[in-house]
Amino acid sequence: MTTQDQARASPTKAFFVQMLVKDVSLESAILDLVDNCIDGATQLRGDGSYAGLWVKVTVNRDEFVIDDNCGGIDVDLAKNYAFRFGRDPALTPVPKSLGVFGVGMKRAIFKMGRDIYIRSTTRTHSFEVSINVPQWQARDEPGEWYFPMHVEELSHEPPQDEQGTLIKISNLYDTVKKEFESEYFAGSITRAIGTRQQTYIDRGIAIQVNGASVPGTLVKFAYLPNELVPAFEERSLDGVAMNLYTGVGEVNRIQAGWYVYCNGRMIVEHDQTELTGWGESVETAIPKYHHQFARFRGCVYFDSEDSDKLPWNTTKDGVDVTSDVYRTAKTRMVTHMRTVIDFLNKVDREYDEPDESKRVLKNLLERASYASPLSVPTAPKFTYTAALERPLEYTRVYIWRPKTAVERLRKCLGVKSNKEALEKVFDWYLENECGDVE
Amino acid sequence: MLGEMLGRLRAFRPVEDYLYVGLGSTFFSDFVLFHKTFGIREMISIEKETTRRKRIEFNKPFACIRVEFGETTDVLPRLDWNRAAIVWLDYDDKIDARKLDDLVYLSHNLVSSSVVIVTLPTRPGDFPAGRPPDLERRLHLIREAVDGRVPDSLRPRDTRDLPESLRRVVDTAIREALAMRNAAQPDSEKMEYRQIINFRYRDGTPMLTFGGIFLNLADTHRFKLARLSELPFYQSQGRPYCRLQPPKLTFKERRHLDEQLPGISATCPDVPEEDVREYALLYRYFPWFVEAEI
Repeated sequence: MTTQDQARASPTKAFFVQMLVKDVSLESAILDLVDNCIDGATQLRGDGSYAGLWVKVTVNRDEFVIDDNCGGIDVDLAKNYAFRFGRDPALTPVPKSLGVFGVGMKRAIFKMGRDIYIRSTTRTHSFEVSINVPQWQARDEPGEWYFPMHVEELSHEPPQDEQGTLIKISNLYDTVKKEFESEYFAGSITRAIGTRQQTYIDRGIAIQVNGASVPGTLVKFAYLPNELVPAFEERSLDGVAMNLYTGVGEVNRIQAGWYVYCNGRMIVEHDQTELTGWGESVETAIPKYHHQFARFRGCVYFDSEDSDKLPWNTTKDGVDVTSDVYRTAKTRMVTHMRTVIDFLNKVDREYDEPDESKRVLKNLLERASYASPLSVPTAPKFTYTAALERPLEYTRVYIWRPKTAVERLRKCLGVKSNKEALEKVFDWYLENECGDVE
Repeated sequence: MLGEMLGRLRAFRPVEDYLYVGLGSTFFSDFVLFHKTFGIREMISIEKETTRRKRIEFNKPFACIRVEFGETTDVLPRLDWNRAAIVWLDYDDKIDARKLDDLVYLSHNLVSSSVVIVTLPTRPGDFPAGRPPDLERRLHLIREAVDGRVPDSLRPRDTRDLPESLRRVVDTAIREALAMRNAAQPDSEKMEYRQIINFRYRDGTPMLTFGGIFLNLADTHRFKLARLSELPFYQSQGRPYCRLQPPKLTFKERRHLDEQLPGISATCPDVPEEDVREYALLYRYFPWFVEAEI
């Protein structure tokens, strides 16, 4: 006799949470939470100024707090979506959203501690959720999982500064506590946030970690009107807007390279590898990165209403090199790179010129101003004008003469070294005897 | 011959509207031909001999030629490629990674209906197989020269035919570069490369000249109208190469054959049929060399 029956396959909550947080680092958990704040800001301001908006992150051995005034989480969204594990496919994605994969917030909060408190206020509602993770895990809820939520309808619109979300995590896990205690942790989080959210910080949002502001863009392009102008190209690639800048910056071996952004978030920083078109050997037109290119700067921005189309990997912290958008974009990147590399090779060759006043390119770079990509004047190609003047090529003059004769000459000329004597004689003859001989 | 081929580009636009980019040397013979035949006015010569600037400028046959001094690798990215161009890279030394990069650059940037022609020396001694011939070694040398960019399908035994091996290396570089360029483009913007010529000849050393045209979808229709495939020396991808080997004929023999051409049954006493066939294919393009005292 056979019967149809079912074997239970639903995960236990404990197992589920353990799997969820397993591969996420504390740093990327925090970055995910900041992404959510930025998503809120994007919904409020779109492509406009983000001035007046702020995100405050606090980390210490007792708690983690992230607080913002970026508009708050809609109550219906919270009830039906924000706390679900995984994105509901029925939900229309937030345009230009950074939170593509629908697990960021949950993963981040479960990663850190046992007591979780969330309060969010919009123009019309306010809600609170308190979770004690061990208690929640102990309760058996076959079928569906819930977090209790306290909702309040507001009688009048709260001030702008109060419309936002606060997440507070306490009773931290020991490993997390240890990391938060480190003298370096706040600093590394500050750098990581600054890197990822550069574009938004440049647009005016203030992000703080333990009270200290996260600085904005580091990429600055040198320019001089009509003399030294970075390249800019924009294209639409399969529903993704590509905006590309190449040029030169300050000499900095670390900051040189390519920066790649998806919807404003930096996913590749100062890359000097094949990933962004640098060669593998010195034989190729674009050589292997070398310190003579320490001025090279390139920024490429990919923006799309549909975040899934962007050429980033599933963890949103790197490029998906197999994506068609990136492959085509890379042909534009290497195209623009070559004019800059040609220029930097010339700058390098110019150092052979002993007369500093004749180093026209160096002079050009010294007179240049620096500006971030969004505000720098641009041209379709990287252009520079001083190249018209070709540096002189030099050769060494080296002679042997009887020592007594050289000494006589030195005495006559009143100089101390043989080199000086030869220079004087050479220059005098050239000036007085060579006339218009070319 | 090249001139006749390029003349058919008028299916796309008047040939005079093309930009011509070549590697001029002091003789500028291709520039003279294209300016006189088609009236191309925008011409750029890339000249690597930077020490002979004055001599090069002095020898420029027409005012419309602009000389850009430097290596092709450096000069090509400086030029504006937003108009249809005919680019003839007449290299005088063996293939290397930088030459492939020139082709990659052009494949990334040329607009539809542009033509690229590549000339390369194909001396077996540049990639010596040794004695007895070790073709593994030859393939290795080619691979080294082009920084590893050799198609997987190229086998050691294929390198017995060195010119064809080199053509395949360049052809693959062009096609791979286009695949990248096309990846995120809609079908109407996807660019295709079609080979149109593939000559072998001796110019002191054995040489290979081949090339093709870049076409987007709209221009593939015009390409049919250009009827390039009707020309006897049209060599698309997959067709054998065309050997330009002037048969040794006297002036009298040539005149005698000319009187019977075009036609299929030309003969000349004691001249091998093979030579007559080759002559019949190319008789219109053969120069008449005459010794003269000036």
